[in-house]
Amino acid sequence: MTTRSPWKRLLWLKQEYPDNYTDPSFIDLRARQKIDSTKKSDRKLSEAARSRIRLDFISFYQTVLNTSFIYITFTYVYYYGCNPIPPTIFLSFITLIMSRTKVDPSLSSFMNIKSSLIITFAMLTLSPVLKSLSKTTASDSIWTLSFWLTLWYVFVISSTTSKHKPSNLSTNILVALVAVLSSRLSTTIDVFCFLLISIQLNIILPTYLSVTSKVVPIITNVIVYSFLNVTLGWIYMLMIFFVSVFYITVLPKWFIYWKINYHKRDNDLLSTWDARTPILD
Amino acid sequence: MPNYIFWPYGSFFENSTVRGPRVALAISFQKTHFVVLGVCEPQYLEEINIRSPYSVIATKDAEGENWVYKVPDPCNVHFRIPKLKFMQFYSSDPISLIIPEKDVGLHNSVGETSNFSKLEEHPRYKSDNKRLSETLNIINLFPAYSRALSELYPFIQTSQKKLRDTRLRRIAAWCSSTYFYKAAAGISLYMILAICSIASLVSSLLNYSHFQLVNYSAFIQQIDLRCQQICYFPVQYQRINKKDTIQKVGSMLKQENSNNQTLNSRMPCKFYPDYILLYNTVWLIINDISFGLIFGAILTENRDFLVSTSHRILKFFLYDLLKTITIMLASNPFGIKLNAELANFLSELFLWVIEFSYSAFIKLLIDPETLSTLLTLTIYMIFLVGFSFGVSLAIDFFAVLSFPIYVFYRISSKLYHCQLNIMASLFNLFCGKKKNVLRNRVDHNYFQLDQLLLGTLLFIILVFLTPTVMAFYMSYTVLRMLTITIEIFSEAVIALINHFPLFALLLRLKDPKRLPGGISIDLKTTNSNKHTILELQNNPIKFKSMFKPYNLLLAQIRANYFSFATVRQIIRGESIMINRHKLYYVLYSALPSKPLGVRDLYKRLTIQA
Repeated sequence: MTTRSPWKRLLWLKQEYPDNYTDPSFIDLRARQKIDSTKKSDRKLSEAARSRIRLDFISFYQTVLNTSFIYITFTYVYYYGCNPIPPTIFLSFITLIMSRTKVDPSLSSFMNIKSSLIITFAMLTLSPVLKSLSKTTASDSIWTLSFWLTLWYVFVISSTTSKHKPSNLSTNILVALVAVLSSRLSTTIDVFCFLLISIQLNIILPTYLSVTSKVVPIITNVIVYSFLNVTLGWIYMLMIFFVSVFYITVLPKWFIYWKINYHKRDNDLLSTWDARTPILD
Repeated sequence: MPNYIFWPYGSFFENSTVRGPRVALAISFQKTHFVVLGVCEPQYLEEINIRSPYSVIATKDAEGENWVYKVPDPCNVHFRIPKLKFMQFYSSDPISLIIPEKDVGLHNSVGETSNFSKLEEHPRYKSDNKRLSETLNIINLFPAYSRALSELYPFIQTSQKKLRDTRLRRIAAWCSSTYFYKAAAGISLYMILAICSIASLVSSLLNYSHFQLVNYSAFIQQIDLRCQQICYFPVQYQRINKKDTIQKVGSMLKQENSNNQTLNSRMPCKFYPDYILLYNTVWLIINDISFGLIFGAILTENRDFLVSTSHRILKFFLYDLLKTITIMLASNPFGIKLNAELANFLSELFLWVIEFSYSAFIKLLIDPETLSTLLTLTIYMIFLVGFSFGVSLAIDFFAVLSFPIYVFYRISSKLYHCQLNIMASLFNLFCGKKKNVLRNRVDHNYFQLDQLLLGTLLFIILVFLTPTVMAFYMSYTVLRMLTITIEIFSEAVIALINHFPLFALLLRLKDPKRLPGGISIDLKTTNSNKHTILELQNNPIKFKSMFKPYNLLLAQIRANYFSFATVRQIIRGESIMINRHKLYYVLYSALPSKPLGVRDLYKRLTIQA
């Protein structure tokens, strides 16, 4: 008598088991869960999982900060009417240096001299068109549009798994957002510089900077809060600061508490016994 | 299954005043029912052997009221003898006012799917009334059959009437033997040939396969139609004047191998549709010319008024209105804020086209003097050849004048269509996807940064420019649809003048039996002791089926120009065109698709002579 091959949880596979077959591992899991629910001591997450949750919260905060750089640049150019050329030159210089120092094969395919030339010239050509694109549209509708685009962008970029390369969709949404905002600017140079700064800050530079480095987040925070202080005043700045501190310190704890007490049990069962998303590719 | 015996209705057979024994003789072939042809007294038949198609079907005693039948389970069906002279006949299928070769095309053109028609044609779903239709053929030729019978057995009493107009016939025969008649016949034959050859030449020139002029102009289409009608006249006339058919039936019956098949093809009722079509066409042409005379007179009376009014109207619609709309589009129409640069550019482009076309030809064409000369020419033409020519010329004139609108429509629809296509593919790029042409699906693709950037920037620009292009496109589409509607409705008027089934309608009123639309068999008496008696009746053709080509035409127009499919086409930016040939193909249903060549025509005409 030949031994049966072990049961697999695959629908499309023809197996030598009856339709109502229940695998012993499932029963084991249920039994273990029953025992677990009676014990209190086991209700704990590992330290790695906890730190992962904290990291996720922080990285989302970082994403929001990065995104806010678009608005900072826009306010700098549009509201204060400052000359955007010096920061553009400065940022381009930094980008150039970083692309020299970090030679990564996967990045070099993503960003090389040819594409940077094409990007520059395309933006130079299209800036005058972009400038006049929404002249007849009311500013309010542009602000609304950019608000929704920003929400979409933050959602998409924080839900992509790969941290190394930004996804196509998020890049596109960002470019669309920047293009929509730049159509409010008055001169061609402003439009070009704004596009360049936003793309460098949000697309190119994050791929060169290592995630673990501590210096970059500190610089970002300092820039954002000082800008908020200048623009909105210190009261608003402090309010936003406290809210973000609350978000970084308190919310992860609540989340972990919820995960241990309410989420874990269901999730254990579901995560092993239910394919949550169909895998198409 | 009962044996059906068809009795002529109301004749001597049923309520015979003559008392005494009788024998009824009937004809029947292999695949027909019995049709009673005549009666006689039984003593004649004692020494004669009745031959095969005929047989004694029933006998009656001297005192007897009822017939005694020789076949089991008899069932009487009464019918009125169709008068051949008045072209009455029975038919199980409705008479077709469309020539058969076109009938096939008409069915497939609108609505029906080919699978359904296949199912319909399957023998299982067809009622098998071949026997009945064969019997109907005998009934239709009843006088001929009964004459043949009485020639064979002179003692038999039939319902045949004597031919009376012998003197007239004699005079006609004498006339046709004179040299004068022969010369006149010859000359007219060659004249007809000459006219037909010219007409067919013109028609084939206009239908030249590489450049079909017919498709471009209503006037040329009208000329082509008239030419084709002229070409077809002699053929139709020759077909309906086949007088020999009825005489031949008798001689054929005398031969032993009388074949039903050959008889069928020579049925005179096969050519009645031709008769109706020919006289319908002739009548419509005469009508057309008389309309032309009436309208020509009216136009002549109101010439000055017409010229000045049409000048004003045309100038307003083709120049002032167009200009106003184009300028308005550039300056925020209805408060919709379009992209100023693009709107200005497009509006200037269109304004330039308007000015150019106006100064190039529209100004000249709608000048009162030109209009007046054109009107004079049209009036002369209307007097000579008919109203429809005038209308078609007006349509062509209007088409030339509305050419700028057509150009605007094409330009804006091309722009819109291109923009829509580009936006669709850029949207795929926006989502990080790419169309896979090999598998015809949309796949994920990882793009380079420069591709993404350029694509997204272009996409955003196009999205912002869409309302502007769409405003231009929609306004010119509305104008274009207006001109198309005007053209189509005037062409519908022409179609009505050219193809109205006037003759058929009047025939239907005068004598419905000439236009049978099928038969019905009703129960006549239900005397319990007697056999069941049924009555064969003719159902006249329905009015709806007389106007079938028009219904099809209307359905086609609706499908092409006033349907959701059209709206979808407009939204997609696909261009809407008038395809005249396809549209009015339905109305050529009374004409063969190719006019008969001169040589064939000559053969046909000389054989008959």
